[in-house]
Amino acid sequence: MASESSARSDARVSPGRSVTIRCDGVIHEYDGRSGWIGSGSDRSVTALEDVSLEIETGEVVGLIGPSGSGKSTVLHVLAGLIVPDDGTVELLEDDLTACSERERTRLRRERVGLVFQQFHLLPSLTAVANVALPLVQLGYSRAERRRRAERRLEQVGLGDRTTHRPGELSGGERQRVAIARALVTDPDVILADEPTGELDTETGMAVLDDLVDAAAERTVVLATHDERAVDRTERAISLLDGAVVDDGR
Amino acid sequence: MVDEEPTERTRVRRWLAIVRFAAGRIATQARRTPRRTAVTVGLVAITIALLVTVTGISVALAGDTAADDNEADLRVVPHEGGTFSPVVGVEGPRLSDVHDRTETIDDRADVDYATPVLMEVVQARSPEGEESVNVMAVGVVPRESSPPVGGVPTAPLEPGDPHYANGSYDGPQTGDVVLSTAASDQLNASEGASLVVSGSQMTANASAGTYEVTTVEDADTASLSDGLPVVVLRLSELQTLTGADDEDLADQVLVGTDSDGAHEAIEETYPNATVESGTEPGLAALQDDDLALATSLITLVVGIGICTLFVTTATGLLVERERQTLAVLSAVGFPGRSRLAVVAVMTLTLTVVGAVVGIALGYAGVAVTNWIATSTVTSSPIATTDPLFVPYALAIAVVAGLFALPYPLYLTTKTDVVAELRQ
Repeated sequence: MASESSARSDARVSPGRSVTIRCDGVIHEYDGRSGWIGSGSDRSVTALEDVSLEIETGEVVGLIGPSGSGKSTVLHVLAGLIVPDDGTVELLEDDLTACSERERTRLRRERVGLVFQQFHLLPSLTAVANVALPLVQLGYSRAERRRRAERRLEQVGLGDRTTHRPGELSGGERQRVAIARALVTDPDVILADEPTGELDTETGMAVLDDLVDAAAERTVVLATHDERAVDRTERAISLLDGAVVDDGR
Repeated sequence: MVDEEPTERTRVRRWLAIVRFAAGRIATQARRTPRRTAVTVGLVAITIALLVTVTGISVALAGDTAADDNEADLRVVPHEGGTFSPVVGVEGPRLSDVHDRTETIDDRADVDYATPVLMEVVQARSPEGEESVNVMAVGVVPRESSPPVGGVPTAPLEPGDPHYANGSYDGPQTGDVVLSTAASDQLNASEGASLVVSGSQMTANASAGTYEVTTVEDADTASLSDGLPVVVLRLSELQTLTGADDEDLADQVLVGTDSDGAHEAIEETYPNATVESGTEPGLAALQDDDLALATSLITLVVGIGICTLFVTTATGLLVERERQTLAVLSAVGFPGRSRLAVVAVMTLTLTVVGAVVGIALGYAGVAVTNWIATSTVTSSPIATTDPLFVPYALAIAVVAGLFALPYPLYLTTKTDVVAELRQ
């Protein structure tokens, strides 16, 4: 699993910190073919072009770049939702490109928390049920799921909103629920895709602060095009047209 | 990666939670898109309702005999077409020597009662009246614990059949008769009234007799399949009226018993007859009637086919609406198997809910069918219900749901998680 290139990269890791995420030569194209059984014209789009990066354990890193630069695609690759066409992706010492779909899902379930720009809360569920959703697959009892979810909601300042449904919450509160959901399984890595994109500036920064605070010692990767959000990160990796133009070191 | 394998307990919890989640999604769909959900449930319900109604008609067709309205545990009937003694062919095969043979059965310790039953269409009128009315006369040998026959209780008749007199038919005639409410209405005869009863197909030794109405019984099932009201009297007196005393004939013998051993003993008493279990017309009755069985099988196949198509279409649309939810489940770590389980539970839940509604509608359909039939072409019900209809209809709905499953599951596997999360 540990390739020659990763061994080479280890030399740049800060003393006392290990590497949580490592991408090496990642290439990915979106298949844009259309028409009957994909027989139409080939309109493939290169989303990632030889992306290599390293993120250390506990680091809060921003992925920045204009729209279409590949930020979200990198996050999806790191979350195991996309398998790149080429290159290797190591997350917590597992090579995602060599893992099966089932293994990637399990890794995501147990060690990764995801936060989305559109929150992606289930409108029919209460805040506490939304937060508890990832615990279903881990086999916790109903009471334990509820207890853990309530604790996370309290941590993001929504202890008094547990029984509210997403439609009864403000945008900032919804994103805090989403953050609590990402944290409920106590993951090692938080991947957040434009978490402030749907929020006004003040609320967005407050939510971001909550995210970084709640993440504590966890590794956080934050995709954003908001310059002010970058101020909350330790390092910013710049992307342009699917390639890393500056890894912020 | 975490390597701990889930225990059986966590696995059970997980699946219970998934089932609960899927059922919740259905409830949500019902709240958010009530019309769509109602259409889905309604289409399944209509299919199942039609199935129940047609099956009810088929079962009634298969069990279309007077004695099917009795409460006996066993029934001795002639073999179809059998003409050997003790089965004698008279207007179709009948049992002979029924008084003596039934007495033999009734004497057994494990038999609560046994009574022969003869059914004949006779004419009845009041002594002053000129117009006779055709009624279905049911002749029985009353016992202490005889059951209702043709829906009419026999208890008001004193036990015994004195006119039989060991086969001489010269004993005293009691002249007792029990009327169903329908017969009472048509004859305009109440308790204590006199009736003149005569065989409608008079034989050489048949005669007319005068009877006194012992009681009028309010019997829901008194009207038999050929639409005639029912009167109950003693067997030998009916035999004398209709000429069936010649060979001591009856159509069947009803036996009340809880003993399995009685079945064998009765077969020995009537070696050339058939001993049937059960009394109410039920699904089992279909086995004995080719037409009813064929009708039911066609209904079954068509019902499953139509139900499958409805469920396939409806759940295909359901998955389309649930794509984003499925994507979120994938994002938070639900593996493909669990997402498929969610869709499968949603599909089967919709199907079962539709089936439950359909069963209720089907029972209503049977009632409506009977109401229309009795209001127009017949005075007796033409459809029936059976408790087994409930599991039968549910099983068919589940089978249809299982046949329909591949399509929504296929759509689930084709859900582009990343594309849905980007919306």
